[in-house]
Amino acid sequence: MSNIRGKAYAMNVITPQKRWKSIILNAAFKLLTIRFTQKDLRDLSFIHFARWTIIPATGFPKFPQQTRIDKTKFDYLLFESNFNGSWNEYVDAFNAALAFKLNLVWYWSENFPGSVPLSPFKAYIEHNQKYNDYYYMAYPGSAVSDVKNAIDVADAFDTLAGQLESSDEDFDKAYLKFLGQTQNKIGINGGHGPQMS
Amino acid sequence: MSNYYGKFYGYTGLFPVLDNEEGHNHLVELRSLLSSLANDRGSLFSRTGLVHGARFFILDDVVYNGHPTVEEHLKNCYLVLSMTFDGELEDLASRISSLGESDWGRVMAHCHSVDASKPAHEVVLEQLRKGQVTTSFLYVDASANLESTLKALLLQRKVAELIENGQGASTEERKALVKALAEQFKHIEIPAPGGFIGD
Repeated sequence: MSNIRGKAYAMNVITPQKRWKSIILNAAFKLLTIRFTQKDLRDLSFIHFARWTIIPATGFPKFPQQTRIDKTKFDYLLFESNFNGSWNEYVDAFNAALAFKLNLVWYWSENFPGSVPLSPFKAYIEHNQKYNDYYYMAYPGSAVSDVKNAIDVADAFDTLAGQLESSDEDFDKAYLKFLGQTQNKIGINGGHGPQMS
Repeated sequence: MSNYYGKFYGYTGLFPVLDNEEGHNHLVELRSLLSSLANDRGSLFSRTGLVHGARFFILDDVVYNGHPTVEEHLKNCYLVLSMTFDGELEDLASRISSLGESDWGRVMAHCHSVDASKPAHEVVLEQLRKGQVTTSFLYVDASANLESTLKALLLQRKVAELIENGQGASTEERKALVKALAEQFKHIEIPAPGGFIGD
């Protein structure tokens, strides 16, 4: 299935919104670009990349020799996400942890039922979802937390390797510190994980 | 600009699919082609060495959400391409044209294109720019470029082995283990992106 590659799932959702509402939404996005407002998103640790793109009613690309140009009544909000786990887990977790932010973004879309209660929200997402025809991930066997842990382990190992010329006593201290830093971050990651059905 | 998140670039592009011609249903052919393209280490995105994630999907129409919304339809079908990659669009276009041109060309042959008489990398770049829609909000939960990420994932496995072998070892033996691994990783060949580590 093209929506899944290893541990990653790719989701696309497109929703219509009135053109004047895009001004408000763009202001909301400006707020969300401030990094500390992303803390809860980062703490979830299962989203590799996510993006929202407003396609303006008059902003559909135009190519030479194209005979029909699209100019719609609505702007369209395109949401794309790469995450670990299944669609249901993702939407559940998104809904539980980020209900306010989801409302802030999708509230402006036509007939959005709100992120709570869950059932109408899920039905809305499902109705507006577009499935992938092709999906590529550079490290399909690694979840977001695997990647974060690997980067931490690599940094800790570089520090340890920098202590090779130290006295035995100092190296032993550095080695113990290294074990403490990495003990819950090592493992055989990156391979074929359990297959989702 | 929202196409950037730190050192990562988030690209979204829409490419209008060609109308049907006699003997050619471009939409059907394009879907069939996309489903047959390699999405592992043989992928055109893998060959660039820059792309963390990419997808193609067909936007065959917009979605109607019921009364009182007005129903509307697109006049064109679009091939949507999204990518998150290291660096700038120019670098990526250059690598696609030199390393993945064949697959790229086969896909874009089903879409409206730009003037193809220019050098290949300029054609790819112009195509990407022409179809681009500016990202409104980009979020990336990563800190390292692709090469460093793949290297770290490989090292993570080796560190597990090092710690296992270092249990009960003397300081001198541990130093030797750490030194050997550090030396190994100075010259290690990073596996091409797109595959499972260890395959």
